[in-house]
Amino acid sequence: MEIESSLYLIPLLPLVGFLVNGLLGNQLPKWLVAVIACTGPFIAFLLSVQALQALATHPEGLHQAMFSWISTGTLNVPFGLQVDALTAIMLMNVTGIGTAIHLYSYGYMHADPSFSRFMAYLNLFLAAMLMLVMGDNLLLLFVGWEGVGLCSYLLIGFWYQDFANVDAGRKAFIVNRIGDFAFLIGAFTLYSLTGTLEWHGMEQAVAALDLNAMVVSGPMTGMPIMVALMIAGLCLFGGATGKSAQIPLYVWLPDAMAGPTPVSALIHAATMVTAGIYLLGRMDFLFVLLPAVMGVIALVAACTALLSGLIAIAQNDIKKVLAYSTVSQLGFMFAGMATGFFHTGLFHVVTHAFFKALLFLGAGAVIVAMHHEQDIRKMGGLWKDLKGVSILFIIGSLALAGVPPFAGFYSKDAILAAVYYQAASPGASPEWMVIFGMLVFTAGLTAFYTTRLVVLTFFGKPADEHRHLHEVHWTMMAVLAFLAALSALAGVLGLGTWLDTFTHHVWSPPAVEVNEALEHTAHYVAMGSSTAVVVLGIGAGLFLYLSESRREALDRWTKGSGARVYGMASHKFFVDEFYEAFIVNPIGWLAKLLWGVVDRIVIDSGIVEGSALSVSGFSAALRHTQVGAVSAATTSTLVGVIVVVLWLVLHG
Amino acid sequence: MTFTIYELAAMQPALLVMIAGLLAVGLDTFVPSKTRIAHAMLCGGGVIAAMAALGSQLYYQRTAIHAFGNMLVLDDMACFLSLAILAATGLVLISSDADTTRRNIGFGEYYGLIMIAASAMMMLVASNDFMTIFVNLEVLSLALYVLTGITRKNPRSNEASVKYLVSGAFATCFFLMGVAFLYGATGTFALSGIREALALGLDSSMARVGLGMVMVGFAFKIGAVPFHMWVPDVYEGAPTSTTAFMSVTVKAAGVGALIRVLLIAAPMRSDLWADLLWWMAVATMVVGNLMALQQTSVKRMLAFSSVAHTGYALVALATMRSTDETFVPEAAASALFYLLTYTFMTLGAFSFLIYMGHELPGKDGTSEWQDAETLSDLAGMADRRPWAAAMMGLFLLSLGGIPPTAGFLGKFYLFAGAIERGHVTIAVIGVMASLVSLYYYLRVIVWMYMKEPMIADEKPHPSVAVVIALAGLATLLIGVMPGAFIAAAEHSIAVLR
Repeated sequence: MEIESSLYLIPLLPLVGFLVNGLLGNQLPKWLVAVIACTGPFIAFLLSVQALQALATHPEGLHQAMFSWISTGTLNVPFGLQVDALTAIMLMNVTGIGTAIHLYSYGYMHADPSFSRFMAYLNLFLAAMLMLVMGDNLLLLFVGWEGVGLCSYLLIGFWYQDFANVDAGRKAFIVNRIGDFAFLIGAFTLYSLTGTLEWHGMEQAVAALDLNAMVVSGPMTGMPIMVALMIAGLCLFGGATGKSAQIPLYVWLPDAMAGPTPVSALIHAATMVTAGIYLLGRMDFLFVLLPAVMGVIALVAACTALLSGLIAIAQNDIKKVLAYSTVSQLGFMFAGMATGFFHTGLFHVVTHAFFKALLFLGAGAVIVAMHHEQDIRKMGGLWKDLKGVSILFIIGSLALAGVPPFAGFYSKDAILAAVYYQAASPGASPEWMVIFGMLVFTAGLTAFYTTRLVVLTFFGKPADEHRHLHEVHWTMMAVLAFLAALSALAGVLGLGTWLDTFTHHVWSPPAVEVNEALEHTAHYVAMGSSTAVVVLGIGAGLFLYLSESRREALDRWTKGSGARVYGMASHKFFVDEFYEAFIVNPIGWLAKLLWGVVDRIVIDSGIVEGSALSVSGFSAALRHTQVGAVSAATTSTLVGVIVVVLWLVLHG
Repeated sequence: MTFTIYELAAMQPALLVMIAGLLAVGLDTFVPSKTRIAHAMLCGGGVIAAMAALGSQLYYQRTAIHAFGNMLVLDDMACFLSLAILAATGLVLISSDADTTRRNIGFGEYYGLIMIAASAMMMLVASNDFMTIFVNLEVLSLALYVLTGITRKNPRSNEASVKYLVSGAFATCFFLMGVAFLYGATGTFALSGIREALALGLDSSMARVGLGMVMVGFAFKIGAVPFHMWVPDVYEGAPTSTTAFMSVTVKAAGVGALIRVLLIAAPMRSDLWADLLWWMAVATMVVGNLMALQQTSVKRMLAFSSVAHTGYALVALATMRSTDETFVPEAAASALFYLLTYTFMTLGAFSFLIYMGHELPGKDGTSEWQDAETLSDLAGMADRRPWAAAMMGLFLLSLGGIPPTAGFLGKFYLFAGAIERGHVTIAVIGVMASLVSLYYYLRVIVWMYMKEPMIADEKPHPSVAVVIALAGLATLLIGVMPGAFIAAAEHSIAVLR
């Protein structure tokens, strides 16, 4: 098989683009930089298509072993790439949309003085993301996982002249590291249970575990295996909440909108943030064994969806609205994965990538046209001047709102049906019904805030009658049209059904029994309720925002009697402030305290002066060379010696 | 005492380095002081010859050489660490070209002292007896005291040298007293002799105090908390190439010698020292990282970061005794591997500071060289020097433990091993400490990549670029293909038992 032996080219090509543009880009003309940057991802896309086709004849998946990465007596990790149905779908997403966004970036960024650096980072991101989805073991996935985090950080802070951007970038990185910490603990735990980090080996080892037994060796000796697996599952999900912006670690994603808009589309909507969903899908064999953990995931996901949907209503920055909506939609995807019908989550990953990339890129076009204005209150009436962009943006909005027959409707519907199926199954835990209710309500919210966004941006009176709009580059329009076609048609053309059959053999079968009658009911309940709330949401949005007088009344309400309620949402429920007060500041205090203790108290205090006398022979000679520091060092040594000696004498 | 010529082979690599160093000092008399080719060839040749000798020992000879009544032993661990020390020494020799020419330091003195220190460290890791350990520890320290203060006109450098000397002498007293206590308890200086005596039931509190004080001596040399107070001042004051040299090689040699002492002299009392090292490792990781958070000088930040990395390496020693009370000496391999990864990333980071040095106008019309030290020295330099900035970024990410660099694998191997032996708490503390460390490593990247340049008058030194490139290559190579290195580290420990 030709493609199986050239899988390595898929991540390598963007990496080469990164190296060339990153190191020589300053000396090359911009068109050449763009050609280099776009060629790698495009060829990677063609190879991915080939790999996808090859899967038809190789349903067990493609695998290319490269070399042995770590091989010691106790730890053996290969360096290999694999493509199965799940990876193939992710590959199509990452390389397909990735290439489109590279092209768009040429139009969006070509005037920037650091254009080559930007394209180089994008290429590096793509290489890392491809590594993430193609790695054949957990550690290799982690390499990509950290790589995309790094690129995200570099790209958020890309316009570093504004210090807030740099801060946002650092916040993203640090928050993600907290997630990674959980990820690593989960990986270690799983490793000590199964003795391997490879997907296939792990799947077999987990299947072979006796769930009622106890762990017999390693750090968790004596713990029931089920509990150990739950710890692993929860920790891995903790890692996913970092990368995929779920409660409690979602706070970085809205701030990440400080980066250039193509970055928001590519990294913070279409690809990187779905890494957590991919992880869940990849570890399906673990999660199907853990219904309790799945329940937790679904609950966290539903809460995230609802909370960020509420926040999105009160945001006025066009990109912030889209950012919170991304967090909310990621919640839907997690809920879908948590039902055990993994293809529903994956389906939403794909359609969401289409329409959210479209919306972000459309927002980018609007922002360019408005000379980098992002406040939707200062837009209005753009319909007249930007007909093309408006139509495409509205197509994306309809898909996001879940209006049939746009793509978003089908995938959201599939998730709602799966959740309802879980809830209505005999013996299901009651929380599932609550989750279903929250998700349906959030679907209505989505329709509402999307309508608000569209109405405020494109309709009504222009905020400024004399504005002069900037022209939108043709590469940007071409990419928008391409994504709009996908967002409009993907559902109708049966992408969902195809995905289901194509990936069916990769998933471990769900824990609940298949009940066709219930499946049909679930389908109708989901469709009925979601259509109803979408109609309500859009209706309410149009009713409140389309008429000038009602909008003003609403404005008065948010400033007057509704200020408290509205303020909660517009201040994002004060989660950032909470973290600042209870996590960030205490660490800062600890560091300052330590600094203060050592620098001021120890060195200047009487303890040191006293002991300085004991080395007075030296100190007399060294008075002029900051004797304090020297005696601090000797004092600390002396204290250490006393502790060590006392401890050793008294201990045994 | 009589010995055969064959036994000299145990010393041969170290002797080659020592002789090259002594000749380099002597050369100053014969060649004009401005030429450095003769010095460079002599010392470079010495390093390469010693590496070749070690290579032949490892791959052709294979059996360990015990020499001088088992006072020295050239086994796999000695070879592994000696090779790491020599690699670092070679790189430092190249990068010290910048320090010596810029600051008018005599080539003979500088190269000679580095070579003498290197040879003492090579013998230290091969020492099997407290007598040889002590002598080599002192030779090494004396050379470093002088190296630290070698820029005679620089008050900071002089002050650092005196501080190092005073506090070093203080710690040496404890070490020597510890050796004396152990001798008093067991009647021997030989590590294996001490083990036999302890096994016979001579486990008195005198022996325990002796062991504790010896550990204090080592802890001081490698900069473990609370014996680390000299580190920031000395590292900051010394010429940067010396800082790079001592931060990597002394750590490797000190930890190596400590491993040998613990595994050969006191393996049966791991219940005593493992708990002690546990607390020391935790304190070192926490204090080192929190102090580094506060620094605005990159050089000082790297000094505290080196303290933190000592803590990580100690985790391996502290978890040698697994929670179900079995003794797993193999664990020490992860410390050796960690030190190897640490060698290249730290050398690279310090060399980068030398590379970015600039000239400051002095008082009397002359100019004075200043290495890049503060964050503002590095502001926005990524656009001017993308290669160097990318390499520094690589070193910093590696220090922070981001894959696929060497630093990630070092930490992964270390903490995975600790967890496997049941030490979850210390692994969690370690991973959290490295999480905190990312904050200050990233700050440097932010300044390089996301700031407007403030000073742009650096005059890069071409030979330092070679060091940066080689260190970068090694950092990536070990990250992507660590297999052979880990295997070598494990083998080094396996033969030690």
